Amino acid sequence: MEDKTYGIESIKGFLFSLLAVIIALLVGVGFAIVSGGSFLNTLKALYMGSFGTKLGLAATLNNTVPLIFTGLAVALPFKAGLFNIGGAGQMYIGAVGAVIIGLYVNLPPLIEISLAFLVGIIFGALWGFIPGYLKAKTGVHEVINTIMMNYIAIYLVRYLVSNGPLNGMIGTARTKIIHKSAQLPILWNFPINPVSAGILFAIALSFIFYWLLEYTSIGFELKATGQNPKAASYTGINVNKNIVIAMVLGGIGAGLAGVCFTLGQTHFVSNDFPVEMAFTGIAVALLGRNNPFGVIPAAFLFGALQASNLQLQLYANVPKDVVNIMQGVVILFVAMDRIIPELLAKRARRKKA
Amino acid sequence: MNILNTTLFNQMIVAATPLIYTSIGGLYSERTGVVNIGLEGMMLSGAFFAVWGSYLTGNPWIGVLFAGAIGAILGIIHAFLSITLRADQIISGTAINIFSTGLTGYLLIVIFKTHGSTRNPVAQLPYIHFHAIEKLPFGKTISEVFFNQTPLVYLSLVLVILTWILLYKTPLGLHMRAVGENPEAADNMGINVYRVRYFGVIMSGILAGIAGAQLSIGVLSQFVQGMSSGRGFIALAAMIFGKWTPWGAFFASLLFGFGEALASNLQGTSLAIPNQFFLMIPFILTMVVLAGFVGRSTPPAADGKPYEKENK
Repeated sequence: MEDKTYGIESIKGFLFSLLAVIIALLVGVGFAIVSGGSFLNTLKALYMGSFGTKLGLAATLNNTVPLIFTGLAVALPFKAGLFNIGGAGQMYIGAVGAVIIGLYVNLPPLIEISLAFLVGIIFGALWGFIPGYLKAKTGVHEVINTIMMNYIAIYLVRYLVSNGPLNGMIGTARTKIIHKSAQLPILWNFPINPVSAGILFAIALSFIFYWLLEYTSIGFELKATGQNPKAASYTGINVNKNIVIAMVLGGIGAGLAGVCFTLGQTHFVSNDFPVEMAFTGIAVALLGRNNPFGVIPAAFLFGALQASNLQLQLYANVPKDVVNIMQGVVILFVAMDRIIPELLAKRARRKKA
Repeated sequence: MNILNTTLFNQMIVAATPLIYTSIGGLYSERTGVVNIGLEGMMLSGAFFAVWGSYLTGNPWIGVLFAGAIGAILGIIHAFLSITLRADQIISGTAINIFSTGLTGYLLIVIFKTHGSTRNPVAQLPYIHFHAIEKLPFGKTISEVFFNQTPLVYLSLVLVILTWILLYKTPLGLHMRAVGENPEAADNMGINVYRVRYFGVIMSGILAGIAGAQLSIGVLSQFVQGMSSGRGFIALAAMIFGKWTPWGAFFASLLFGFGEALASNLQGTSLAIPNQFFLMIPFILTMVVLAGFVGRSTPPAADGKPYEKENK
């Protein structure tokens, strides 16, 4: 019985996400037409830029990797009732952890990469731990502290790479290129946009988070904390401990986004690191219904939309910002999801009465 | 080299003004119980619409009006989602931030046919000088620090005073505080919880929009993509650091503005402290205060919680 309703719920959820995507696409195409693009050209540019060409597909895959991580970084804490809006900082600081190893340690690839992952994970985890601990200890809302931690990370890293110890060349705001031995192996050696093994780690983390949530007592406690913290504490679950664990896991997810982006794609860290990917991760998590597997197609979708930026602008004459508008619409729409069924039910009840 | 000169304090006021408007805006929303992290996007949209209004009419005050209007519209969206539909307020605010980034970038291309920033300067808000004051003792110093600013700078002080009066000396203010602390009790007293919350959220949008106008047509005479650059969040921090009170938010904004001015003055000097550390200060201070290490700061009791009227 329970399994059955769960099944129906997830089908409903999927349909709702699909509806959100369709509406967002329609709004996006509407904005595109207003700006002078044609309907067909816009769709064609979206397709060619994301899947239609090898270049597009490579760009899509490369965009998808960090988005899976940042999506997971929001989705898992959400299961515990926490909103991790600190992905930007966790990701940026995680990238720094990886780059330090890649710059200053010289070991065989397997060991050096593992070490870079480890340090990146620890840095990301720390950036998640602090707001988690403060929430557990003092009750301060994690949203406020994660926002603050984002800016602290951004200014800290900017210092490190521009006038601090990690600066690669005076007058620039970036580190040197990391050693070859710290760079992730390339899976698909496409020029301009080579796709690295980062994508495997992203998918692996989805599996790990899913397993953790569904098959371990840690996951059970996290979900219980999220559903009803009071009831959870009556049954002997240490709510505060679970708040910290959820935020640490979120920090690890976002930290890995920075690690794989740095070791697999850029090979350095600079002043203008794309921290927006963390905010797109919020849309990814919501669209994927905070399910670790749901995050993968959602990340792919947003990765594809962002990959078609250039084509939109060049061939369909449509501002690339349409993609951001669509993201906003998806989030707005998903924000209403719990409410719309409720309102419909209310209306139905009223009709009956 | 003397950093502590009149220019620094003048820059402090310039940096603080958008923070004052936005943190007071945040106060209107949160004192009625609605968290608004969409302030950043509302400020950015306000900055764009101010330039647009000024560009269309040649009158910068129409620009301010445009800025307030788009802030109000975004405020209505946030209010509808978070009050009427009882959606998650953080998600709704995040959507407004992302949407605003997209919208302003889009309109920049559609209306001004350009990327990054508007090219030709639009009519800017006037700067007020008081030459008479320079003849008084210390007049030159006073004039250099406090004058030669836009009217919005002086109006920000009026805003703080009026907000204080409204919040603590009027029935509406009492209703706002009641709704933010205990909506059930307020409802039982006959206060329309939804209406008061709508008022608070829409006010926050208008004020954040005006803050954007001060950035784009007060300090500059153009729109630059992403020009709010985190000020909406700094304002949120100022509101918290100021313990959700008008004067607290005001002085916190001045303090954070001082930090920003100091950081930009230190850039390129050989001082041992990197300027990024000054830019970090508002965020660290806010965390410290929230954690209760230095005088506890607690939000209104019903802040962030949707209110559902019970069926009678």
